[in-house]
Amino acid sequence: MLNIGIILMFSWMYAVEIALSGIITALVIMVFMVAIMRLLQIFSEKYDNGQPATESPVSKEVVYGGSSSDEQLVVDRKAVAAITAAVTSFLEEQVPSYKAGKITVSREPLPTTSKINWKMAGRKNLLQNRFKLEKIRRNKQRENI
Amino acid sequence: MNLPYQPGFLGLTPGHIILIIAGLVFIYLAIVKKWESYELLPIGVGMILANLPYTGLLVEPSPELGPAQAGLLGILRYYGIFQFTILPQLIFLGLGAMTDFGPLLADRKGFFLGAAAQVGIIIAFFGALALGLWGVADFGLREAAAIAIIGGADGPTTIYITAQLAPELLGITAVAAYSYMAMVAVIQPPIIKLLTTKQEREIYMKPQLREVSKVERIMFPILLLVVVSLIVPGVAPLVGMFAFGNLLRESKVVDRLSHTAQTAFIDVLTILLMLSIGASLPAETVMQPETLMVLGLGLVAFATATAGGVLLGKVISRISKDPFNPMLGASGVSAVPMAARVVHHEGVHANPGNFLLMHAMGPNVAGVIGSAIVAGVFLEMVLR
Repeated sequence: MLNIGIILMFSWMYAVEIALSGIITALVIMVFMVAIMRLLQIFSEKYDNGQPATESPVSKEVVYGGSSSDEQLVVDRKAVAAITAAVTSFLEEQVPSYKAGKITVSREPLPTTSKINWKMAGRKNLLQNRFKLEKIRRNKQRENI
Repeated sequence: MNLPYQPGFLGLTPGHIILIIAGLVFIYLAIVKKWESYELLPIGVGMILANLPYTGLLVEPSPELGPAQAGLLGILRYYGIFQFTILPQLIFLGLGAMTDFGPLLADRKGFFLGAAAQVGIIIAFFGALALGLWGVADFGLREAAAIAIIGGADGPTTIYITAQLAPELLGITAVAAYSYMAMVAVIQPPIIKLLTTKQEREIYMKPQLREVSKVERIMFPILLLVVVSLIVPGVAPLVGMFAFGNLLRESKVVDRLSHTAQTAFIDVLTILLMLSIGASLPAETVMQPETLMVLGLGLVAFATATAGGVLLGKVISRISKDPFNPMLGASGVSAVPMAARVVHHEGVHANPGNFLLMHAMGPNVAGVIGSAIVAGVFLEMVLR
């Protein structure tokens, strides 16, 4: 009985050791990774001129929604600079090469059922000898087509 | 009755019928409810196949058997899980390629929340040991460790650990892990509400995160691989593949490899692994009282993991100079991305102006790392 008790006690002690080791190891590794990534961030900002290579999921400094008192729309300066540069570049490169020609406005006639359009269609058919061809077809004089 | 061959229905037992119905329920949940469809659908099919008598599908390869006598599911289980545990390891490569560590690197508090949520593993570990010591169930250190890992809410890690420590529990622990992951939206909200006040849930956090440089994104998986493998060598296969997959993604120079790892590669592995898991649930092994205990302990592990994360979230909320919503702690449970979605949903429910999704993704992916580390320690110490 005493032996079983001792075995159980050692078993529990070892279980406690396993459990504590698991959670403490996880915490230690996490702390270590936090420290390393902080150093890497500092290094990155110093030597990479702080240029982010990838966008954050939500654009920096653009605040929308929220219930805080400082709720406002703040426009990112970098975004403004990038847009301004792009527009300027476009105007400088594209506008001089553009030569304005004579502007004409035309409109495709829309299909309607008005009488005028029916007349126009009839005249067009006459011009194309559609009536004549139809008459020939009906008289089964296909050889004359 | 003399028959030219043995029809399957003659071998059907009530246990088989119950598990075939359970397989159908899994398929229903996957198709109609869309709960973890990619996992539950093949598991359901595997369960049905495993419980059809006389199919020979579960026969594992062995020297005594002649050629072509082993069954398909037996071969998959034997080579993919039990003999080499290659499927869960390789699936981590795909998971790494699909994971964006940006939110975690942008707000490093997520690392601590990912570690705190592993308290569920510890609680379930002692719960299983207590059942074993009181003679309620036949659980020793190995079984307790395998059951406890369900609390990590990480399917491949659960499969990897259980296959090595308690192969007889493989099917039920894996199903418990995936089922509870599918039920995160049901399990977590009551615990979050129980442990936080309305004012705490309403805490507003600005949606923007720090921009993460390319150097940080590339160096993180490399450092993770080296640091974790040096401290816990037993988990190197999982973390190694996870980091490798993430490096494929972040390097931006092997787009085809990254794309394949995120799509076709992980899809093929998911089919093979989940069919094998379903096939690990024949009536003969599942219809035991221990099964219900494993499911119960898994639920306790999941719930306490959520509670552990939320409680640390409350501590961080008190000491942080920036507003910090303690609900984020619940996303430390590594059910990616369901736990993060639940926290975001609860955040929006409490304060419609809140957008917590990206804040929650950090602890969520840290939870994957945390559960793998704890699993590695368990593996090293229990097998010793």
